[in-house]
Amino acid sequence: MKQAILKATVALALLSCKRDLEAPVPSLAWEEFTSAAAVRLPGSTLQRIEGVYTLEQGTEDFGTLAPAKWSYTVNGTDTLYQLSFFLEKQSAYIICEGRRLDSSILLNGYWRRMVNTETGRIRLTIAKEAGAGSLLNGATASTSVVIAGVYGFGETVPDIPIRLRYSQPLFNATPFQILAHRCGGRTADLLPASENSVEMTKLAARFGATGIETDVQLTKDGVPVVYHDATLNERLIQKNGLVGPVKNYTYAQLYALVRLTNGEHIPTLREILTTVLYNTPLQFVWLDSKYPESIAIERQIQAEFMQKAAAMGRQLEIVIGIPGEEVMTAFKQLPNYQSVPSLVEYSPEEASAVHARVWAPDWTLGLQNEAVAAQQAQGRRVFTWTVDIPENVQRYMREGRFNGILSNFPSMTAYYYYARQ
Amino acid sequence: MKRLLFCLPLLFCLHSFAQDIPIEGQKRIFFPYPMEKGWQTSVGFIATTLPLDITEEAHFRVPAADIHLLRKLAGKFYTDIRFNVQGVQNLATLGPRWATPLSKRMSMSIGNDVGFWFGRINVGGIKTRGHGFQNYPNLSVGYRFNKRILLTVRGEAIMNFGVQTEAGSTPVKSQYRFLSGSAYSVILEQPFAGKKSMTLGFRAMYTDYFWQTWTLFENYDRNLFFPQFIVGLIL
Repeated sequence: MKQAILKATVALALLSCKRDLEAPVPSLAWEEFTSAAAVRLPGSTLQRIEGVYTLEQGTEDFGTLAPAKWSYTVNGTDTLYQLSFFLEKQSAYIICEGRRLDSSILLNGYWRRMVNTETGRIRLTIAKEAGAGSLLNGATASTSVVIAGVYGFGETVPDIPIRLRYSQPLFNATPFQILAHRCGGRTADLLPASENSVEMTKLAARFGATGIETDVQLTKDGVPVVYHDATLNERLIQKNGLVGPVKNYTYAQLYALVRLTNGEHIPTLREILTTVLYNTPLQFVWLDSKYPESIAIERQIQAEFMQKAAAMGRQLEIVIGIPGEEVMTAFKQLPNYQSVPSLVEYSPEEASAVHARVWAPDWTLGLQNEAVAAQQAQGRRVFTWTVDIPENVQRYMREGRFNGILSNFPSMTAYYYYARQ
Repeated sequence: MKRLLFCLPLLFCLHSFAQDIPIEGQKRIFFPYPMEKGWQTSVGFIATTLPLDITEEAHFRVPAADIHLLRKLAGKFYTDIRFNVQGVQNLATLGPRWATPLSKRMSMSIGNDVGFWFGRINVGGIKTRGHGFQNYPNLSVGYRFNKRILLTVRGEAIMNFGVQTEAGSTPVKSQYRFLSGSAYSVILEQPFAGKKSMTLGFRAMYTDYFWQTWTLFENYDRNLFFPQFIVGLIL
């Protein structure tokens, strides 16, 4: 009996151990896709595949509609094009690369549910007679385009059938910013990169984001870095014995000694903006100023990168976020502050007073349609943050007048935006 | 985990060769054994550490007053009544137990507790409110050591339903799983000051939803770890 009790207690202790959750990107090996005969698809072809697809198979796991949107990531001289599908069930998405094999189009990638750790491989094909022929010859997708294939769970070889048929173009009647929190998503959401990292910034567009929000604070030697929390802690960095505020460390110390959860270093603001400008199609950056001390240098860097973007003919807007009165006081010290692109989170009156480009109220304040309309009448856009619950995103799009939504799950926002009729 | 490992050697030590004392007459609140008297009451607190995944940089360890009552029904049946009180948010559970001895030292109980939680909190100037129901089918196994040390090992399923929350006038429709997770507890009870007894316990919860986090409006559909420390005085 004593042994039984002992075993039960040990079993209980084991059950009680904290389990680390993971959602690793599965292996994308697919012999046909990687064969020498398969040629990378250019972005223009993926762009022609864009549209809202209706699922004819796979609805039990992914829902009934799948808006598909292409994006790209520039890595040195190489540009990688991806096609992302945004799905209804549990904020899921599919990210694929495309290749041409003879007269067929192959889409190889993985899927993931944002709210949990489920992920898996997916292999899709557009056969010549199912629309690939016309797509490869320059036609845009039509209802004759059918994407068929298989998906699986985890690392298992995909064998569950999925079939999507093109039904309508992506909704884009009203411009809308799909903003990704912390450069693309939170570390807690078990994405392939850490929040507020260069690597996460490169992923944001694949998740459906058109812009990002990021958190700025200064190091001891005055370098603006991107990091959310007030202190170095186990939530965001690998254990290294360092604790305390970021501002207690020089940038050189942080670079040498600190790694984010997925191994990246804490990036400078310049690194993030360089990535946005040169490596992604992102159009909007919201600099969330954590402390007033960083405002002056943020302004310098903002102006520098907006000039670079303009010189490239690149549509990129960078706004300085003002979360409260302390930062507002520092912002008003800037020369010609009323012409500095800014975003005010708290007060519509202050947004008007500093000629902010954006007013961004907390989503828990509700739709506020009258206040939103009043701001829009002054030429100001209104974004709301941070909306992660599907019903609320749907309602805010259906009944609200917002010009953008900030979310930890941009793929969910993308789904509800692009699938609109 | 470290605390559990610390407790294990203690358990080995507990079984010393002292005079055996029968279970009858020993005060107990978690230990699964048929009741002899009409009521048993315990007061104490439960401290829950909320995971960083949802609290982010703030590391909350939230205590709640824990009022725990048992009411004998008939034979091996009794009722377990419990209140976790934080003022702005509270949980009440009620459920039947059936307990039976298995041997001279071992006993067990099965039960099912139904709970209702409710809260009303001002978060950053926004009035939030919420309520929901819970269900905890549970199985406890007890072992009586010498020197009146009672060890209870308990497993529970955690079910959440009817969760309704509002931020200001905005309803927050979260779709939580009905089968939210499970919890595993190790609880020690022993005589304390005077005729009272003391409870010390650890409960490991794995759940996608814990009622005390309703104001965070999280949308996770994955089980997170919520360790709880239970301290009580059996009156």
